[in-house]
Amino acid sequence: MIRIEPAPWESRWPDRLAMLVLLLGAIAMVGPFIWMLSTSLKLPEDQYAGGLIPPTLSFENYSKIFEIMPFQTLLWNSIKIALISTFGQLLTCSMAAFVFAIVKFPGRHALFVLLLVTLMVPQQITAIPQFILFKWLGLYGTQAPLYLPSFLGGAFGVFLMRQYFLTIPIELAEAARIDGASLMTIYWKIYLPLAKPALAAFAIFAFLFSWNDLFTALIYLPSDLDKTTLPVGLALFQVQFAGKWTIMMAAVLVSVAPIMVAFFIAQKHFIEGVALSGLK
Amino acid sequence: MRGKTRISLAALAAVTLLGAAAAQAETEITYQLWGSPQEGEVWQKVAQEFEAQHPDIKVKVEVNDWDSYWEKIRVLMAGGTPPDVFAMDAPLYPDWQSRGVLLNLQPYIDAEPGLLDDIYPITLEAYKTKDGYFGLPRDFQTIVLYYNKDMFDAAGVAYPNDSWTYDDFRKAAKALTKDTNGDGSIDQWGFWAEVVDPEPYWGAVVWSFGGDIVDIPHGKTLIGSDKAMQAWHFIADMWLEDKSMPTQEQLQQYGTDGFQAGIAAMGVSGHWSVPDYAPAKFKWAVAPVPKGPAGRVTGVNSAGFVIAKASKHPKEAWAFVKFAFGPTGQAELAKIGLAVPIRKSVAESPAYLEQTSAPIDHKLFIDALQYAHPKPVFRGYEEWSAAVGDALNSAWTGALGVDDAIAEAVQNGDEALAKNRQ
Repeated sequence: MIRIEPAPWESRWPDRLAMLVLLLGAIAMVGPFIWMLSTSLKLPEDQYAGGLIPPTLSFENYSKIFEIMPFQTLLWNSIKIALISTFGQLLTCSMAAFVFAIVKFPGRHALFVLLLVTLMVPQQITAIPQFILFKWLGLYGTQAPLYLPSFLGGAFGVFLMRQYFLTIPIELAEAARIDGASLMTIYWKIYLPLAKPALAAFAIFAFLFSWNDLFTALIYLPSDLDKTTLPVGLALFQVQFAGKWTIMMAAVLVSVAPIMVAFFIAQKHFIEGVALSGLK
Repeated sequence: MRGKTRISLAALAAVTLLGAAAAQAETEITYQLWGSPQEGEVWQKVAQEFEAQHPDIKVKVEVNDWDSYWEKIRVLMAGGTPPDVFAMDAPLYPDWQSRGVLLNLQPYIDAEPGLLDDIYPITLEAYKTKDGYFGLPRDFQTIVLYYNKDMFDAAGVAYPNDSWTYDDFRKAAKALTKDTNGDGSIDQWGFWAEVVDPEPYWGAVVWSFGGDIVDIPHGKTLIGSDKAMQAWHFIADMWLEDKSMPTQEQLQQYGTDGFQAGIAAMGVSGHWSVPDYAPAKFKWAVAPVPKGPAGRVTGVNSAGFVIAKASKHPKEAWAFVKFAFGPTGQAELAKIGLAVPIRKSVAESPAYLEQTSAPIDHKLFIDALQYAHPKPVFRGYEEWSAAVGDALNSAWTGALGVDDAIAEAVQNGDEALAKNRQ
């Protein structure tokens, strides 16, 4: 056992400086969030009063938003769609990425480049053809167009996962191959467990993307407040409560809460993954 | 994640398709509009009354915020599934009409003699084309002056009245601009207005100073004429010299509407603001807009209904429009106080005049029609107003002098007009 002696004072000052910089960064990041939280707990007439401490602590804004809009339904619709989309993306992107990273087949470079090129095509260009396609399939007005495309991979996810898979020593796959493992087994039993940190990071992206997607929900779903998603509801909410920060902040807080939960869940795996790969 | 591999999409989606629902027996039509959830509820009520009279038709009402609404309508239209009936803003109507996507309502109107008799003629103007009506007005908005009685009382300034000129208005605004809590910075302004779009404020000022906005048939932007320039200098002097209006940065911390936020003693708006202002903690009232050298002029704009040409149920859609345009539908709308009915018999009845939205002089909004000019309506309006608005903004932020900004607005505006020449 090696004992790590505390460094003498002189050599610790760079650490302290780093801590100070990090602290300032953290304040800059967390500050707006604290402001949001504190404003959401104020009475409407106190919205500019008292700085960060609400003069009167009140949860009135939170009960109010649920009266004005069926927030629980909007939240549920958004969560459902985001979870299905995230699952679809994790599954299909990691599969495609695995093949691109491990399997040598003719034309794979060309195919990969082609895939990356799709990153450059803006959504506005594909929106109308995609709309016509979904209409032709009879899925217009259902939630399917919001999550179905997630089960067809996506350039960003495939790229991200492929880069990670490339960092895993190929010898692992080769050894498994010699022992008679199928490609599916190598993918499922070796690569996927090792890729937990990348999967966690990508899950956050995928979840966030689906969560924030106003446009797709807007065009495919009827704008009824019991059928649509949170961003559409929030946009409507904003029209009515412009400048009424207390209630707006309560609504925003409720709508970012699931993302924060998703982040903290993924972050645990993220840190675990980093720790594991450190032992490699 | 945006660019998806779409080759296998059809195959995968086809599987899901197997369970797709079959067509319904009763006819369902959709009516989409922009607005607040509350507006949606009111329309829901109108739709229910309509359904009670037409048991075989079901109306689905969908409401979105302004930006989302137009984004959605464009995609739905391009995808061939437009809503049967949708709300239209008069300035945007010529664009939609000229693209041939709206149903010509003239045959339906001809089949109903006297249908338009009870309608304020000025509200119909915007929807008339040489081939007939492709839309009908739903409600109208005239701009009036709103004032905060508490602030006037506190400053000892007399309330606005119908003899007010723009000079009186400017003087009052200056007297009402102050630092109420004594911290060294102004926190109450005499006036607030949105000065980018012509509708709420600048159109009326330009007209009252004897200027005009665009010529007919919409080839030239006229806001740079000598008379119009007097109007621009009036606005700029009051804002940038007297500082009687909050800057855009100052306003931002209070919200988007300075009058509603209680930081401006006066504002200009249409009837749509009444439900917003009603719960305010201050007392307020309305007055006619001030008189200019060329008399008193305000603006009028109307929202309307249109039916998509691609609608599979034009007859049912028309039945709904006719109902909402008719006395029952209009009376229901009048009560909520978001707009003024286009039907004289309803606007001049207790349904509108004695609405419970706010205890103000609702008749003023109807009287304003006598001195109102319609908001300019032409093909390419959106492009033109964006070009002009951008140039105006550079004057209000101080990036350009007023004269240069207007010159730029005229030039950019004319380019937009030229592009949209038919």
